[in-house]
Amino acid sequence: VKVFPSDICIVDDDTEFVSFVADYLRLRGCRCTTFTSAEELIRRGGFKEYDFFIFDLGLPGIDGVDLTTLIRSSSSAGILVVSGRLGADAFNSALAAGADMFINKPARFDQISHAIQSIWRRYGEPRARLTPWSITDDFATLISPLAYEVNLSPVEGRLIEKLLENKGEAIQRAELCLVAGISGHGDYRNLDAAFFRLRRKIEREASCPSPFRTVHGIGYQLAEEIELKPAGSASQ
Amino acid sequence: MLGTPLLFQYVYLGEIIAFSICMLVLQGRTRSVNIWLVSNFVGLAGSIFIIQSLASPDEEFSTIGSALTIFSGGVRCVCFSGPIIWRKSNLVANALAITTFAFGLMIILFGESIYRLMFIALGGISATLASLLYIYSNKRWEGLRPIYFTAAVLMASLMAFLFVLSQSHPIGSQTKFAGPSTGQTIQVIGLCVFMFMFHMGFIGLTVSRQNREQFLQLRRIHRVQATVEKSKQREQQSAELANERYHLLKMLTHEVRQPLNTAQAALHTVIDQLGQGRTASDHIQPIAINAQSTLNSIVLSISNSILGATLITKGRATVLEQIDLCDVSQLALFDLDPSQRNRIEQIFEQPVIYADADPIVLRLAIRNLLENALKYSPADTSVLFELVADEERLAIVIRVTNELIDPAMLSDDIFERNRRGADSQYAGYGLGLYIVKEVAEMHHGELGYHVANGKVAFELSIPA
Repeated sequence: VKVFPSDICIVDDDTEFVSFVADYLRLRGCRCTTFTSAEELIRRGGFKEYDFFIFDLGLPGIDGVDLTTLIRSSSSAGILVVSGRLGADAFNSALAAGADMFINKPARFDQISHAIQSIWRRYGEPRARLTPWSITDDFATLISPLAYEVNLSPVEGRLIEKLLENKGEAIQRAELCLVAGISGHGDYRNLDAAFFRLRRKIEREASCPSPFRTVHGIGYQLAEEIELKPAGSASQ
Repeated sequence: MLGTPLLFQYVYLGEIIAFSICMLVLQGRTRSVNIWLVSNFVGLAGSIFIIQSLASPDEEFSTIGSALTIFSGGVRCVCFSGPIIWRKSNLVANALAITTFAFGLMIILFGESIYRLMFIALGGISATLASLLYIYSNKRWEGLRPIYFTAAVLMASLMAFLFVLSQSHPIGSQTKFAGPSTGQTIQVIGLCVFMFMFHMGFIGLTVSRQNREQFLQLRRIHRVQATVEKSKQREQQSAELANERYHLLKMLTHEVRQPLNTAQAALHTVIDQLGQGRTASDHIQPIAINAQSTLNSIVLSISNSILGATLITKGRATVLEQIDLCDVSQLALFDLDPSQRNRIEQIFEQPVIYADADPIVLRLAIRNLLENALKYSPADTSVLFELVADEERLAIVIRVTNELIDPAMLSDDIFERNRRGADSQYAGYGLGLYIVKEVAEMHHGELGYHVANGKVAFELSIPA
């Protein structure tokens, strides 16, 4: 299994930084192509040649967020944003556009290398982006986009079933307790503990974040699409 | 012996004088009060003429006296109008007021004609109607209780004038105020009573209006005071903010200038050594590493100052995303000085641990915890860096444990800005733990520490 992408495209108007990073990555066996603006990359075309992109956000002309949106619409390659733009806005807009990770400048080469490997490990296979989560119709097995299986207890199965029923709408803790047969005792600690354990189990067994999220002060909601599969198809 | 009409004419005269004096001493005389006083003066003159005529053998009302009484009604009605009388909404009322004066003039022009009583009644009707219309169109009287009383008196006057009109020639048979007739007596008594009520109503209106203006003025004063107070508070906040920023800038300048100088010297030495052909890596590498670690400390100072300034200016609001804390922790480890990194012993409970977080500020917080641990522990000891899922707290705990050079350096306020425990031997202003505390709160988490067996463990917990 490759631990590093082989064709990396870097777009950053800081030519010296780009030159140093490209040299560093070439020493690790990657082919690196560098551009100083989004327009230059678009004119060149052939996005599919690259299996990884590194962008700056503050590019002249078309900025990094728009470029990320453009690339993500036609490629499932990994996208790392390395930018000097600070604040939650920069991070959130980059992620919303389809970037996999955001590192703020100044960034060391070993940090960039670590980020590339981390993204590559998680999303290296193009199908990971295109395949949704799925669950067997007996709600006993949750299957990650990379086909890792997570066995669910009956309580966990009922919780996922309820989240699935509400299609992304936030569900109150009390309602979830009722459905899953968890005693509430007023503070819903048992329910929160069940979700906490399920999250850790998914992380351990599927190496990815759980498909649901906490809605602060309300309850839980589904954050990813989950498809229903016949019970016998899990291990196929 | 005085006749009844003459007696009540004197009463009417006394009323006008008494109320005029009362209004003259009234505080804060307005335009309306002044017009009312002019009207009273005209009415007073008319009344003197009437008294004189009533003393004559035929006891016929003086023509001039009647006209002046009508003129006074014409002037009086204007005092109910707003300050700008020539407005479209006052068109009918103004026409009626002018008509009143016209009837007064006709009384003089026609003299002792058979229509005089009709002119008097019509003058009274037009003056009363003009007053009612002015009251209706003038918003200044809105909501004042005495206005209803005044309007009622005016309506009663209108009825009385209509009655007189119905009795006067050519509708009725009466052509003049002649002799001490019952009708004349009733009319003079009615005039006295109405004028008394009318004065009472107007004084009530004036006082109510003054009270309302005083109340509004008081409210305006309170509002101005509140605005001034707010402005002062804003000014104070701005001054405090400017002071905080100045303090951060001073801190940054102090913390950055010296290391920049060192880094520049180190890089200069590298170039110099290379220029002299001394290219051996064991000679050049330590100097380059020194330059890099110095630049590292500059980056930390700048990052802390920028985040500190952002927190001071914008508060803590941020949008959190589900991110891998192991990734963020690893990036924070790479932020450390490479020569110190081998002192860190890392234990991550799982290869990936996700939580809702802001990776930029969290990386800085972890780096601050690690930098502090390296700085405040003996140089030959290791620092334990753990990432554990704490089911008790339902949170991911980022724990950094190190031996302490001096346990006394920990004080209760170490999480406050500009606090550095009890030590003074290390450079810096103590922004690090303040940043970590703010980052913990930003993530709805907690920051704490506990000391045992000469070791301190700082725990940053994030709900997950």
